[in-house]
Amino acid sequence: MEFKRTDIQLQPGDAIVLYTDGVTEAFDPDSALYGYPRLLSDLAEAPPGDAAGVVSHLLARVKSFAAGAPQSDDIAILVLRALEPAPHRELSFRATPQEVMEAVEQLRRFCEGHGVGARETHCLSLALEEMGSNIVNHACCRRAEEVWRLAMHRDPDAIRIELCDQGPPFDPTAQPEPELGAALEDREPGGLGIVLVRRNLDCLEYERKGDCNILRMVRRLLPSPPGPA
Amino acid sequence: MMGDAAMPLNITIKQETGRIHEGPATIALSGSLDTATSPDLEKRLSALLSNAKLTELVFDLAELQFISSAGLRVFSAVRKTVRERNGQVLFINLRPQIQEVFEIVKSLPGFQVFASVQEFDDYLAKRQRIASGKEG
Repeated sequence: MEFKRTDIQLQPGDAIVLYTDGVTEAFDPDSALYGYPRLLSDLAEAPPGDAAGVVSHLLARVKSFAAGAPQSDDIAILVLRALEPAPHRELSFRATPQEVMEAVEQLRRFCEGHGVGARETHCLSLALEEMGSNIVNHACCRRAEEVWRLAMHRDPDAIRIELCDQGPPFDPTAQPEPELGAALEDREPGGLGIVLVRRNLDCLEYERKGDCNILRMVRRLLPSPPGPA
Repeated sequence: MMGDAAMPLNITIKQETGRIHEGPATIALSGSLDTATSPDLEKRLSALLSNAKLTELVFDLAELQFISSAGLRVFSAVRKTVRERNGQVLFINLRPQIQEVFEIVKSLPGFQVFASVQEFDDYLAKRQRIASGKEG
């Protein structure tokens, strides 16, 4: 027997429903079958919320359809539902380049879970890579035991990121932008990162709070384009 | 869909050999050129450039999905070395988001970028014609 394999991406709210043929082959007193089309339309009316609710709903619909006719086969229903991701996530990382890229990967997953488009995810990833590297290289001087923090927040129309480290006071936004137009290798190294970050964000702010450098980054999200008419 | 690990960088180096003059080395990059992966590229290029006769490098970025300033610094260091040999560094097949990064930092005046392999082939053919005196 050959099994087909497929990969799909579940969006928040999507559910996978597995059922045995005791569902689709349930008979009513007139020997009509519950059938696949009815399964689909009943599932479409399932309540939002947890997977258990979908199971109860479907089971109730099948029983109501059968209206007391003898059960023809075993009934088993399994539902897996992708939940809405939390709007806020905070993570800590050590001061290494690999951990910066791990943070970027976490940001990509956060964006994906919240339905953020590929382009906006890329812009945010680049900003985080640059500013995270900055923290690791300069504020933490690549001391692996130092820790920096990433907080990600999903607003209705924006993604907000906050980076926090406990290095010496350093405001990357106050550094002058390097001169562009001159050949890259003739310029002073450094400073390129901040240019890339500014062009990919709507807002970049620095604050020194107690022992911490805090960097706030905001990227506004475009509203989703309307679906086909 | 990506797995759990951060995106790696795959480096494939091809070099034409057996010619009178050292042929160009083509470096195909795939994945992410960032703060974690750029040291590896730097090492590989350093080894490649230890051959003083190598004067032309072609970076094929068709499969490169991400580049940060760390990556640009590697390219710029390579270009400096190659320029000192009166050679050049060429870039082909840039994806839109990669092209955008080059444009933001206005690296383009320093680098030669080709939109397609065809454009690059045309450029090579033209250079050959000039070299053999068929074109001024």
